Amino acid sequence: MFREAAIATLTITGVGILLHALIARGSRTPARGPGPCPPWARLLRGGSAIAVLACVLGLAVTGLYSRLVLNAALSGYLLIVHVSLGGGLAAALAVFAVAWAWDHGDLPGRRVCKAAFWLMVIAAIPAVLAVLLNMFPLWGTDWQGAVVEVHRVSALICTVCGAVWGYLTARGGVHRNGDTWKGTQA
Amino acid sequence: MASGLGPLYPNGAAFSIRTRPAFLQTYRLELLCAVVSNGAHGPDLQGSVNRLRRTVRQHRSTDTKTRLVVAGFALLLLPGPAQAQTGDEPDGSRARYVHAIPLYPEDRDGDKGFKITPDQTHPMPFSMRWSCSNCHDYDRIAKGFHFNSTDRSIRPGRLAQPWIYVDAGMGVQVPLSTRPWPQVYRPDQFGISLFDFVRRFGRQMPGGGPGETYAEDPNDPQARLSGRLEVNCLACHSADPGQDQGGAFGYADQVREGNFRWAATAAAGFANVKGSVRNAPRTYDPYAGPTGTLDPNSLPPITWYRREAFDDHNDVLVDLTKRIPNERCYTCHSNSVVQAEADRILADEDIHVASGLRCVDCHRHGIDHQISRGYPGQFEDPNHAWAAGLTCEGCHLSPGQPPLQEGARMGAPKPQHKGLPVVHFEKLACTACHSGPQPQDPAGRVKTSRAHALATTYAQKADPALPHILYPVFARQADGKIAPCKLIWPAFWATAQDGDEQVSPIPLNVVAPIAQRVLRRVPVPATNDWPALTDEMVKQILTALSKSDAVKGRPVYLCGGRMHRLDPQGQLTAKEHAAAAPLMWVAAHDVRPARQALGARRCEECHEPGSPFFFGRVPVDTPMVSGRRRFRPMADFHAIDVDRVRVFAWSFVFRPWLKAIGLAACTVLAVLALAFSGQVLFRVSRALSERGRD
Repeated sequence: MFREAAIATLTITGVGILLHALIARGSRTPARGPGPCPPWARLLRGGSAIAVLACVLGLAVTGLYSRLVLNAALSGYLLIVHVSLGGGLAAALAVFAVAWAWDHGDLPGRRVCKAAFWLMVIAAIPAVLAVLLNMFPLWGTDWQGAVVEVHRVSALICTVCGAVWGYLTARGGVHRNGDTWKGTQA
Repeated sequence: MASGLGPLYPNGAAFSIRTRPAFLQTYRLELLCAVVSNGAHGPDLQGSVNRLRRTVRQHRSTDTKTRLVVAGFALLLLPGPAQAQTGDEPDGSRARYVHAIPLYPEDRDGDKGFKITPDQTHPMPFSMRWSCSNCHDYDRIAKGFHFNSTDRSIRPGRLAQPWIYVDAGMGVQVPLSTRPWPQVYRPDQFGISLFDFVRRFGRQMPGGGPGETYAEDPNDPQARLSGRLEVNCLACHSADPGQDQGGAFGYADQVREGNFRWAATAAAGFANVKGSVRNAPRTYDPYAGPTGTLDPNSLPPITWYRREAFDDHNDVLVDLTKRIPNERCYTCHSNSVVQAEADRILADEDIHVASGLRCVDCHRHGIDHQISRGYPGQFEDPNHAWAAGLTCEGCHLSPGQPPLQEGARMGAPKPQHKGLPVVHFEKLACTACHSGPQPQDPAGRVKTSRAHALATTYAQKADPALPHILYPVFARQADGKIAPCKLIWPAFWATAQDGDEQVSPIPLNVVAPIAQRVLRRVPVPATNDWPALTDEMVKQILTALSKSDAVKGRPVYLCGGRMHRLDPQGQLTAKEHAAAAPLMWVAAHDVRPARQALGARRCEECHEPGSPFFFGRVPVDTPMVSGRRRFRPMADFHAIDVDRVRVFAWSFVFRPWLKAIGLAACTVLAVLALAFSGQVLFRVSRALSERGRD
């Protein structure tokens, strides 16, 4: 069932992004200019975003390829790459979340982008925890299977939200309806 | 007895034509008794009528009255509805049935002889067929798995341990069986007759199979002398502590002497057998018994029964049980891991046995004796669907089919497998983690009952004794799962044809004189280990074999996974060859407790660089000095990419870091998410408060 649901979800997401890109082509919200944050901060923000998106992409490919294409459990080199990228994602996501959380705070505007960001952050917690806790002798085979399903579903949510956030951010960045940052000039 | 009856009556099977009238009268009386006791159908009646027919044929002039009697009883043998034997129909009681039964020998015509009594001068050994078949269908039981190895109409099933023929002096170590298993050879392929095969390995055969097949030709003088090695019911079902399968003059010794007819009797606690058919001339008639002066050092087989074993009806109490003691199974199915004495002392029995189970609690069967071997898919017919409940999963997990309950059969705990990813159940058999010795590098050795004659008077006790069986070797099975196996490297002389594709063994009697000529200067160690076979010796033997008229094709020597042959220049060359590939068979015992399972302590028991499970080495066993100290990677038997496994194992070095980073990241994300939620909640609360003020 997960296989079918994942295929459907990813298809809908992909088609939605494509349609939005085609339909909303002329109405792109102008990107906000660079803020007063120092260069290292901009580097950290940009780097962490790229790292997160790259890891999400890599994890999605390695994880979903086994399940959706091969219809088999993840194993072999795919598993090694997947686990390695998982560690990278966990680290990058923590930095990314700290660096971008303020931009997706309680200020109005870009609801979809903010929702995608926070859903991705929140879904990443069970996705990472499920795999990590399975490495400890906490529960037996029956619960192992259930926890793996939690990982799959939350990872799928992460993937979809990451794709949406990445697309929207690439289109227009974070927009604040003319508000400026406190203590800075627009 | 009247002198006209001669000395033949005491052993109950022979007769004199001159005493025909009195003898026929006795047969008529016996027929009448048989009809009364057994009804119209039964082996007693059939055996009696057969005897009467033979007697009538040998009577030169027609005895009309007797012929009419025979015809009348023969009519009773018209086919009727098949009936199960009395003892084969259980009444449901779990109580033990007391077997105080008459014993019968087999007569010279292969039929039921006269009842054995303690006053007989030269009693014959009792026949299991004729003594048990009053109540049990011997022929049906003889089709059971333990006895049906020569039956070509049945599936041989999964490969089990074959018999291993060893001759260190010839550099031979080869798997033999009468079952058509792949990579296992038939005895006749090496010029070994069925009789010699049984004499060599019958020490731990339960009878039937080749023990009876070899004697199918009634005119075979050896068969007449040695008799049949019948199915020995007592080998398993005897509860008598005096049942002697392996001791001096016991079953194993009798079989080795060729005393097949006497073997089961010798093993029974109420009888003894001395002498050997090898001391008797080929014309010796065991039914006539010994005559003249006997040399005590060269006796033919003589049987005597303990008088006190017979009750006042001349029946014998045979202590039988369905709940077979484990010691009966251990006679043929023991393992002895080659290890230091301290480890041997600490070695525990199978956890199932230690928990109070018997072998037969898992390895069950019905009257057909089609014993469940404990692996899925053993049976395909619905009559044996119950066997699915006697596998590892069947007892510990339950396949979810009625009437099996959820695990816990016979107190079997349901495994939790905490922390074990489910992918392991797809790639590993249960035995991979739970059975046999812990993986070692290099792989260790084990001795077994049937390979090393354990529990007999000629057991190979030395650790290096041949055959060399390596265990555990983890190999991928036909179902794709990895399981622990026992492994031997075959070594034998053969001929190669069709560009070395087709390999045919050379009979041992052809190789023996040539090999002994070359190898006589190389002593076989007292431990029965390999002698030091050099390349030059192999070259000499191959050269001599190539000149032998008895060898058709190019002679080769297969050992250590390689085919050795002479090139056109007469030099010895070697190459890998499938015919020399190691033979493996799955082993499932001894099962270790759960806390001693592989990976029960930590994942790194298998998933670390250098772990014996993946990266161990399997020694290549060969008699050739030049081929020793070679190893085959364990990963070759797994049929996996060892580099990938190595990379995965190295990833476990960083696993603790992965856990720490992951948990820290989750903490940060959780705090951020909570903070955001707090902001949102604060805004909602403020909005509600403002509205309230409005």
